[in-house]
Amino acid sequence: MSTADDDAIVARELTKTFVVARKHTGRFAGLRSLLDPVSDKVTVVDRLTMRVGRGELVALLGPNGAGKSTSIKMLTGILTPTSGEVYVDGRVPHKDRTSNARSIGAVFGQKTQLWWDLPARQSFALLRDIFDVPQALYDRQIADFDSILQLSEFWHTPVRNLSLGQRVRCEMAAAMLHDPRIVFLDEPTIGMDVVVKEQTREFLRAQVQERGRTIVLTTHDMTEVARLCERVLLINRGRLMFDGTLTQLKAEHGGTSHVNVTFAEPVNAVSVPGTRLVSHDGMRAVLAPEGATTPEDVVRALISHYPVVNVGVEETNLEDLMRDVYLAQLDAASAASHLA
Amino acid sequence: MATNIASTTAHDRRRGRVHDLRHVARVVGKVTALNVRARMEYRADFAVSVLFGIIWQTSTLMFASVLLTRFKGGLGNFPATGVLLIIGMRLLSHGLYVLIYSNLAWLPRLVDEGRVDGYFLRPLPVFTQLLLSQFNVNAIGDIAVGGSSLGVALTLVHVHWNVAKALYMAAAVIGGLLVEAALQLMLACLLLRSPGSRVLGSWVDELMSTFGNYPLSILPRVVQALFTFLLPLAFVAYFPVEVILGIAPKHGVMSLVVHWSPLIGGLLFIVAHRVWVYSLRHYTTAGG
Repeated sequence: MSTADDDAIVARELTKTFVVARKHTGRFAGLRSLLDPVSDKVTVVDRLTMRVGRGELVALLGPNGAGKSTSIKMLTGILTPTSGEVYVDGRVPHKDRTSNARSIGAVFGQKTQLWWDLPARQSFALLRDIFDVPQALYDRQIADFDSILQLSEFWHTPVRNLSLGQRVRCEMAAAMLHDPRIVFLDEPTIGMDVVVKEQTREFLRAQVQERGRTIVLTTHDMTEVARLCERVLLINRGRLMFDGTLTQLKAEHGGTSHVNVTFAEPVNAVSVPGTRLVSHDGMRAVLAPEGATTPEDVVRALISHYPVVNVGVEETNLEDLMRDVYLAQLDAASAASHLA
Repeated sequence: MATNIASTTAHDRRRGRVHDLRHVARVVGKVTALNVRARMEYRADFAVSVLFGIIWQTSTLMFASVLLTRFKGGLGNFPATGVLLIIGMRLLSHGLYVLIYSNLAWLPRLVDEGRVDGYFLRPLPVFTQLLLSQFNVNAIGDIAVGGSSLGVALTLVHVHWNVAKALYMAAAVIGGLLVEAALQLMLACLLLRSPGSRVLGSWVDELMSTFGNYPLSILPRVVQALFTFLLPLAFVAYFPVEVILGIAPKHGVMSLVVHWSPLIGGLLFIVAHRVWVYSLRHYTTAGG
């Protein structure tokens, strides 16, 4: 295992459990909740172990409620973990908050960190003062950010009057103004149009490739992941399910293509050796080749054994791939509970 | 050699602390200036907020004037001018509280908007950033009315002023501000866990403005005890004015408590701040 200083981020057995009050129902529910409070412990992040090297751009992916945001909040020092260890740039974020703040930057989707009533440019100047950024660095950063994100078109407008896309671009610049070594972006391109998304991606690529920054990105936009990230971390129900490259993800989960078939009449059961049945509704089925089986093998087998009227091969996109991984995990969990 | 290193380190630490304090002071100045400028962008809103502060506090003054005109001999053991001094000191303390600390009441909204999360990501205390989140314009009206009432009370009250008494009164005004800040900070800690408890903050505010302007000696002893030891509004202006007028208890523990009442605000605030720091370690954020 690497030491805390080698990597940009190290998390070992990181766990966060929240105590959630359970509401009584029925008559006098409010009074009963007051007199007899009952609470549940909900584990949102469960023994998460991961590391991110310096200069990496990593996607932290998972369905809603998977524990992505809670993980990021522990990595940024906003939340104190219930147990486990976490080091960011060699520091324990929640214990050394002030120093940690100088080496990280973060953007949380639709939530603004800028001063609502002030023009973004004035927010930048305040952040320069708060972070004690030398004037020369500040001027260089502002010029760099403006050249890619084209902020000067609207940075004299009060933040409250900016569009979502304009505001998030300002948020991104604000988060990186003090030149942090590690940047956390939680759904940064939410609500942006295609052009602005591409500008943002270019900005992030430049931060990693030219400035050597480490970026951890959470997003539901799979195009973004495919275009930006070499490595993906998949979490679900607070647990790490996959850590590797996109190529490895494709190889390990469901191959790279699906075969869609339409039958002339309803078929009760579809079974082709060397494939996994992804879906089947009588007249239609989707199969995923596994192991050495190729899509062509599947097409041939289908045509020779079933009344096929239409068949096509479709490359698996990343969203399908993710769904397959989550479903596979659900199946495994369900099988384990049956055995128990 | 070892002593040299130790003293150098202590010296560096001291220099670091001074630098930090100067840095925070500079940022506080700049953010406040920009917050004021931002509020002044909406001139009508700015004027209405100042006016609202003046009207709100003037209504308190009007009620007190009616009461004092009705009871010319004063209230309880207090001369009417002494009651005016209580009102002036409390209103000024409250105005200063509104100026510096009233953003504490907005904590649930700031948590919901994710702004408190952002405060954790900057190298400034979360508490300082919370206080700087906006400029409360109505504080200008509150301070104007508080300052004027205190000015009027000082011209009417029969006290032989000297430097020590003047300093004691100034300390008492700051102490009163800190009592209110400590109470609201404790409630803010509760707000971090239960946003619904904001009602409690409004209730405390209401109690302080209703009972804090009058000598507690007119109330039953049980209520006096409650307002001294449970909701310590006696320390805001009542006890200090007793000392200034020379009618404070001369002996016993209560004499000590009453005479040192300006310090109580400071002590309560230190305790409340400790609880705040502890609460932040258990902050649970909104969403995700």
